[in-house]
Formats: sequence, C-alpha cells, structure tokens
Amino acid sequence: MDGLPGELCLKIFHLLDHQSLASAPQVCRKWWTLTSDDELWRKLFNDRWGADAAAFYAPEGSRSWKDVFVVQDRCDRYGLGVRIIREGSDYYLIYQGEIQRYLGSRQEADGDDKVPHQKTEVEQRQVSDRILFFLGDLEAACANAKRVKA
Amino acid sequence: FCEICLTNNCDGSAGKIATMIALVSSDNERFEVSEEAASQSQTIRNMIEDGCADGGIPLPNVTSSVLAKVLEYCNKHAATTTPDAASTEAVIGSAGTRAVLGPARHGPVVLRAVPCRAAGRRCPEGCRLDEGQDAGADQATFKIENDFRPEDVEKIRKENAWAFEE
Repeated sequence: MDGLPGELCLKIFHLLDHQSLASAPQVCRKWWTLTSDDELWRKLFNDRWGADAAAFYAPEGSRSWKDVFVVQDRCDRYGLGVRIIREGSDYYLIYQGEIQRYLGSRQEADGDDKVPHQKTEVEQRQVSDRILFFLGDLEAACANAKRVKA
Repeated sequence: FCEICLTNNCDGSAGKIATMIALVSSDNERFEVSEEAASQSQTIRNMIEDGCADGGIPLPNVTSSVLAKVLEYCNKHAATTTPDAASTEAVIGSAGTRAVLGPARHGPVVLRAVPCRAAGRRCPEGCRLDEGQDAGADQATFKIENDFRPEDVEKIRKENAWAFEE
C-alpha cells in the first residue's frame, strides 16, 4: 500500500468512517496529509448532519472541515453548555464543543513500573487542583468564547 | 463442498474449462480459483499476465478464513462484474473477521482483515479500517514505515482522541 498513488489512497479513505480517519493520521506523513483532506471531512459532515447544517457551519478562515466536524461531534455527545470532558488521557474544559482550556492529564490506571509512585500522586493532585480552581476560570473562559462568537 | 468454486452447490462447470490459479494465504493454505475469478484483482491479473503466477501467488496479509470469504465474493461476481461497477462490500467472515474491499474497478483490494467485536455491532458508516488507534498494526500490515517521531505520533494521537470517546 506504500506504493499506491495518493489519489488511490484518498479514494479508499473516502470509504471510511470518521473513527478510522481519526486513527489513520499517525501511521505516516503521507496518511497524515491525506486524512486531513478537506473534501473527505466535508462529505462526512454532510452525510451525518445534512446539507443545511453543512451550509450553516461551513468553516471560515483557517478552520478546516475536520475542525468543524470535531466540534459538532462533541456537541452531539456533550451538548452545548460548559463541560469538563476527558479525551484519551487529557481533561478539557469545553463550551459549545470547542476546547476552552486544557486542564491536565491522568496517569494510566494500571500504572507503569518505571514511573515512581510519587510522580503519579503529584500529577493527580495537579489535575484535581486545576478542576477545583476552574470555577474562577470558568467565567473567564466563557467570556472569551462569547466574545469570539459575537 | 467444492474446492474449486468454493460453494456447496457446485454444478461442476467451474473446473471444466477454467485455468486454475493458486492463491496462498498467510497461513500457507492454498486456494485454487479460476483465473477469471482471480483476475478481478488487477494486481493478480498483472502477475498472471507477466507469468509470475506459477507455483501460486502468495498473499501474506490475508488469512485463510478471510481469503475464503473474499474468493466467495470473487466467484460470485466473476461473471457479472462490469468495468463500471463501483460497489464496495464489507464481507463479514464466519469467525467474526471482516475484510474491507476497495472499489471494484480496481479489483478487490483487501485493505485489512480485522476481528469484529460482538456480532451485533453495527457499522453505521460502512467500512472500518481498524478498531482503534492501532497505527502499529496498520504499519505492519501494509509495511509502511512511520516517518514520524514518537513524540509527533503521540501529539497526533491526542489530537484525534475525540473520535474514540463514547
């Protein structure tokens, strides 16, 4: 498959769902470039939410169709309000599907023998500290988001 | 069960006039198929025309269970495929494996055989490339060299973690 020309790879990528397209970019640079193809994600957006939504949420400026898809996918999952969510091992503050603030990461539950026990504790405390203090940040984050939207 | 046309209701016609080609799966099982059926893959057709098919064509990324299903598809479509047929089909194997087939006009390209999760899992958007962020498996299967640094791979993985939360 390494020898397949780009257009053929792209045709195959057009058959895939968004999860496959989200796991493919890390395989190699060629796949990373191809999987961010704007038309790929515009079509996925259109198929999932319809032409009207696609017209309304079409990306402007430097935003790509993939960016728009990701935000809409988060809105479907979490709603439009302020939320604290986890994606992978990272915690984020989101509003209307957009990331407002990175809050921290968590260690894997199983732990790593090489990682000293102390470091795990410190990192966990950092995450909970940040969540504890988010109340003040929350207002600031929402204010920023509303200003951008307006 | 007929070994030649890979069906239970063989009428004996498949073996009579067809030239047989051997395809060898990754677990070294030989499948005899008619040249016509095997030629639906442009790659295999090229190998046949170049005379490389003697001794069998090895398919190192396809197991015998998946290959059996793909050949069933090929045999079914050998007589009916038109050059414009652009359909794709995800074939679900009996052991819960799935072969993803590329566009028919390029011949069935087995992209990946993956074990499915529970049989009841829906695939709402059609084909799946794999079950998660298993880039290593894709690289091994397709023999792609990863030209990213490990920290870049990690960064990309984090950027795409949104797709894998329930």
